[in-house]
Amino acid sequence: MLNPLLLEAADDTPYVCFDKEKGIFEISGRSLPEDVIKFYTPIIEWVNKYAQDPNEKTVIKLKLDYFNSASQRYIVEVLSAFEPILKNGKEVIIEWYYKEGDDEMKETGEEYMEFVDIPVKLLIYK
Amino acid sequence: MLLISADELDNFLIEKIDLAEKYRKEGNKSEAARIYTQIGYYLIDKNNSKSIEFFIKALEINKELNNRNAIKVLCNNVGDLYYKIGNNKLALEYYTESYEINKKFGNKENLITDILKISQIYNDLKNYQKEKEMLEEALTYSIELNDLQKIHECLSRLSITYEILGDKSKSLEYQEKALAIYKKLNQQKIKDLEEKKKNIEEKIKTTEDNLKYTYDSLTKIKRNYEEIQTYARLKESENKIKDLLLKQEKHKAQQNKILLLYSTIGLLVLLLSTILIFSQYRQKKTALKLLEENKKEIEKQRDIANKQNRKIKDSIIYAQRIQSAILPPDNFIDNILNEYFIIYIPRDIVSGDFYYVNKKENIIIIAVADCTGHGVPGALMSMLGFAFLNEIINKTVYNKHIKNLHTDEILNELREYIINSMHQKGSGNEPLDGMDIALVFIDTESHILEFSGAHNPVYIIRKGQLIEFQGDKMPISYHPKKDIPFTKHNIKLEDNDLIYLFTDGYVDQFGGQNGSKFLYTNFKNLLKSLYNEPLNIQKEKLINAYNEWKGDYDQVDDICILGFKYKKNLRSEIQRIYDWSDKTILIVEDIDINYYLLVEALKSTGVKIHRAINGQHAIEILQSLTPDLILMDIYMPVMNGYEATRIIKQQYPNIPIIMQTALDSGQELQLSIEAGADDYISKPIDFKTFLKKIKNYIHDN
Repeated sequence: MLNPLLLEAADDTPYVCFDKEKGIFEISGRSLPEDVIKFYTPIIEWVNKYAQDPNEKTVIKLKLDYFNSASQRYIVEVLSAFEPILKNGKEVIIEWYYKEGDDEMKETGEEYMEFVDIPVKLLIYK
Repeated sequence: MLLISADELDNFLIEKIDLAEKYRKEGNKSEAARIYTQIGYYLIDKNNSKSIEFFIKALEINKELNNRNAIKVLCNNVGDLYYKIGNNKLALEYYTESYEINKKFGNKENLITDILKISQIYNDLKNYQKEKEMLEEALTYSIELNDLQKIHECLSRLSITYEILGDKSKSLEYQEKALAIYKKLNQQKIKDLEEKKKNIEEKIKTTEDNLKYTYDSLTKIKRNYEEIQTYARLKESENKIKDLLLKQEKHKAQQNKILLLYSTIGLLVLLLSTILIFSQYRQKKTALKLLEENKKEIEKQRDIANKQNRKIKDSIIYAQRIQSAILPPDNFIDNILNEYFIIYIPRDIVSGDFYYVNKKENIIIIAVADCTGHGVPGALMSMLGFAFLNEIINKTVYNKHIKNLHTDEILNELREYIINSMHQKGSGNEPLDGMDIALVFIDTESHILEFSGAHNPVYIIRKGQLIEFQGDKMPISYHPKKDIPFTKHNIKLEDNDLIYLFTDGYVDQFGGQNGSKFLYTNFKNLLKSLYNEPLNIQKEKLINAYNEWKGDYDQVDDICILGFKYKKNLRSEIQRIYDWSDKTILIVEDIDINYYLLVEALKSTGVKIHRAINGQHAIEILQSLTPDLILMDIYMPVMNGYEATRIIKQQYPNIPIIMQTALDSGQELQLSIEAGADDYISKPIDFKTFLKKIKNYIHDN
């Protein structure tokens, strides 16, 4: 039984809610923690466990307005951890939200499409 | 006198006459007489004789009726009229008739009047004696009546009459008497007038007094009225207050009842709570004691933590000095870029960003880099990054030549350096620290700008328009794309182009109303708007805009922005590092290639160069030229360097001579010194050392 992972948003870390039963897989807010490894390692471990017994369809929602370069790398790691699910024939999709006017974030979303095998949908929020 | 004809008699008259006739026929005598009198009066001065006629008609009737008064009046009227028409005789007759009635029935006043009239007629008839008699009679009556006026008249007339009669003394006597009366009269008159005046004055005063009294009364009334009004108002307010007080009383009574109720309840509650509090108090006391002990412990810990904090901060502040020392100093940059600004704001004292400015011959090198992290880890990376960048550039220039220096190659090499020296292998757990960078080369001769970037762009603003080159989307560190070479971009610069290199700290800053990022779009617009400002103002405005946007939010990341204006004649505007434009050097060198090399090395100094192709030639030249320094080759035909040095030093001991020796030849060195050379420089020439050495000697003169 995989318990949900819930982290409240802080000044330098994002809101994280990964809940298998409710089907919510969300990271939103801003990510600039001093120790990136310490923050993201538990999340990656949770995803690894989930990938062993995933839902039929997984929708990953990323709605970040800022992350520093260190966080960027680890977010890629988190997303990569979902890749094994695709091999089992189940559906995974990333919804990448970027704020209207933030071309930087949009381009980063497009980059992710290259690094990660999971299909990425780009969506605007105001 | 005109006789009025019958047809000229007016209707009034005819009417009256008819009326009178009627009365007469009726036997109404008094009425008839009255009418006749009326007609008589009417006809006076119209038809005097006719008037007399009617008066007489009336007189006859009145005689019948024995109306004494009417008779007297009518006789006088007739007399007057007869006198008027000049019939003195008849006038006298009628006056006498009146006189006699008056005398008989004692009306002295009228009598006097009659007498005076009669006496006048006698005067006209020149019957002075009779006149005298009459006047004396009148005088008597006047004195009896004490009528001064009449007395005076009689006296004066008598005076004249006596004179006419020849009685002069009587005349005088009466004249004097008359005068005395006259005075009296006037006195009397004055007295009368004064009496009148007094009366009038009194009357005026009374009227005035009355007016004043009236006025005072009115004023009093007005005052009273106002008093009454005020009183009425006061009364009203008084009543109102009374009402309010009453209400208040009622209210108070009510409140008192409620108060009583509540206080009873309150007392009960108080009792209960006191019991409760007491028990709690006991508990609290023990808790407090514990707290106090904890507090002491915490304070102790806090002090230790503060001390540690201080130490750490101090060491970071010191680290900042080291970092500042590494970064190119301002006066160094001043020699390379004419108009520029650098905004460098670390987030935590030391920065993960750094900037690099250098110049190799005619190529300006500028880089702005953003190392992973900020604070201490970032600063450590930045030191490394700076050192690597510097080494790579120098090495490349040294090995290849300045003409082969390219931005993309430099970045490729830098990436290799970082990956290797940090032993990055891409395995899961290691930190992949590295940097984002924008690197720019500007050839000041061809005016071409070359750019390569790792994530970071370069902006060029030309005449208010923005030209942008994007960096490649890969960092200078281990990365899935690590084997893909960086891209090189070229553009030809124009005069007054503004060039900006920066890290993302500025555009990623949270702020504004919603705490959102500043964003590249806004940054671009801001730079475009500052296009016409001088660089120092641009710096100020950029910093102000940043602070305004940031407000109370924390600084997100280190900030570094470098902006400068490109001018085509930059070279001539820059102060030469060495300026020997007023000096002369004599190069003694037989081999052309070597000579050209030396010329090239000295080019930037602006020094005047003369050449001698051997030692002998040099001595000849020295006869007409006095250089500030001589560069002497050793192996030359005709006369070698040693000999030439010896001879020249004898003749011109003050001119410094620097020998060009072969590398690692101690022997040459020895011989040079023996020959009298001041210093040596070994081939191959390292330009920097070369110039430095010359510098030591060229200023001696």
